[in-house]
Amino acid sequence: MATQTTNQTQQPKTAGTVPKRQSMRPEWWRQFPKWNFADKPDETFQLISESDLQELIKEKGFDANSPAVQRLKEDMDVLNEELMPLFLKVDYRAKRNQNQYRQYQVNYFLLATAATVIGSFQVAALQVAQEWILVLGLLETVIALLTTYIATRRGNRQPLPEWLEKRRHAEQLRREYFRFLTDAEPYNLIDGAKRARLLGLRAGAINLGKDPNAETVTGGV
Amino acid sequence: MADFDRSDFELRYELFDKYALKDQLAYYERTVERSETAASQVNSIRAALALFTGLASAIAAVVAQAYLVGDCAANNSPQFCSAMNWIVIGSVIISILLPAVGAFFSSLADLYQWERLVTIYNSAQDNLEYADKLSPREQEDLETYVANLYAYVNGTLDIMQAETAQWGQAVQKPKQSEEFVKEAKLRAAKYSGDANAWQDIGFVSKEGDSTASSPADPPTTEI
Repeated sequence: MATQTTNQTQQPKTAGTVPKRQSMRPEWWRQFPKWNFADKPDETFQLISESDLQELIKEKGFDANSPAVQRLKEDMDVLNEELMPLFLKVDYRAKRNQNQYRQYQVNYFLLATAATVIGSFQVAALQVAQEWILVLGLLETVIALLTTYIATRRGNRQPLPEWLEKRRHAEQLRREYFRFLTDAEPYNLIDGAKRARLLGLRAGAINLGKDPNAETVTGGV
Repeated sequence: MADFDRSDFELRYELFDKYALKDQLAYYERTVERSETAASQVNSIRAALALFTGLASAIAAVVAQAYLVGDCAANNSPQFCSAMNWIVIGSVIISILLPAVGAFFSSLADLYQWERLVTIYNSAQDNLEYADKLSPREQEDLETYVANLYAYVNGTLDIMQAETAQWGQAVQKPKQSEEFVKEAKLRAAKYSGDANAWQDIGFVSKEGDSTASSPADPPTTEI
């Protein structure tokens, strides 16, 4: 994390810690969906780790044993307890749906390209090589069947709306993380256990797609 | 929190500045750079494909007109005529293949929306840089410092929220893939349990229609 702000090739914490890729592949190719996507989130991931904090304390000359640092660590413990599990789950679902959506689309594009090429050759074959028409027709049918297979395999799942929804929730949870950490409103209005409880309620509301400022959420504190 | 003192706010400001604002700025810069590169590469590929398609079509037309209309062998050697024939066939194949590959890259650009992302993230970057100017200053008294810290934090979080909303609008499902799946399902449905299906395998009618259609085609559903 030491180079997080200066290393321009690193993705932000919201998108997960993706290591820098040294590759000669063109950029558009590098953004292709992954075919071996992780089947569960990385549960060790933290938006700000203990070592990140230590580094900042050292860099900015704060006293590591001061009450301010202790209070900050307590707040980070609360965040790791109340918010981070939800963030990890939602962020992972957003990324998985994004990957699936792009996978389906790229598959369709490739099949459509193949279908167009074969279709064009079929028309050309009519004039010059009629013996190839049957073979090309068979290939065309295989492409149609493959497309149907992919569409059927996906079922009724809609990765696009799920991706957008989960990404929105993950980003909102990330903002909530920093809101709590900087003690911004509404956390500056209460103390102690109530403050931690409010964080849990607001994070839960965000995860459910509800307004964290609603009376039904804040009224529970 | 009642028990916060100045060092609490200063520490939390530093943390927010580094891991929220600067981290987000770095992400915007990186995404803009990657999107610009990807868009430029794909546009170059599309332009090159269009150029070579045109050249191949022109070569096929000129060579066919010059050597293959009429009796080529009367004025040239059989090897030369054969070579010209292969040049025409090769050019025709290229002029068929390249537009299809070009369509793939157009679909890719629609899917990733690189050019639109550049606009969104450039604007978010400018706004975040402005929000950074609201940072509290060391010389300020505690009350002013805390008020400025909250203004800075809320301003930054609002910009990040606005960017997320705009980004969501940028992501749209490419229409061409929906249409393609619809047509493929229609075609594939002809081979599910129809004993006479083999008769249609050629797809192309004698009139050269490359799309399969039949009055018996079943209705399709949305993907």
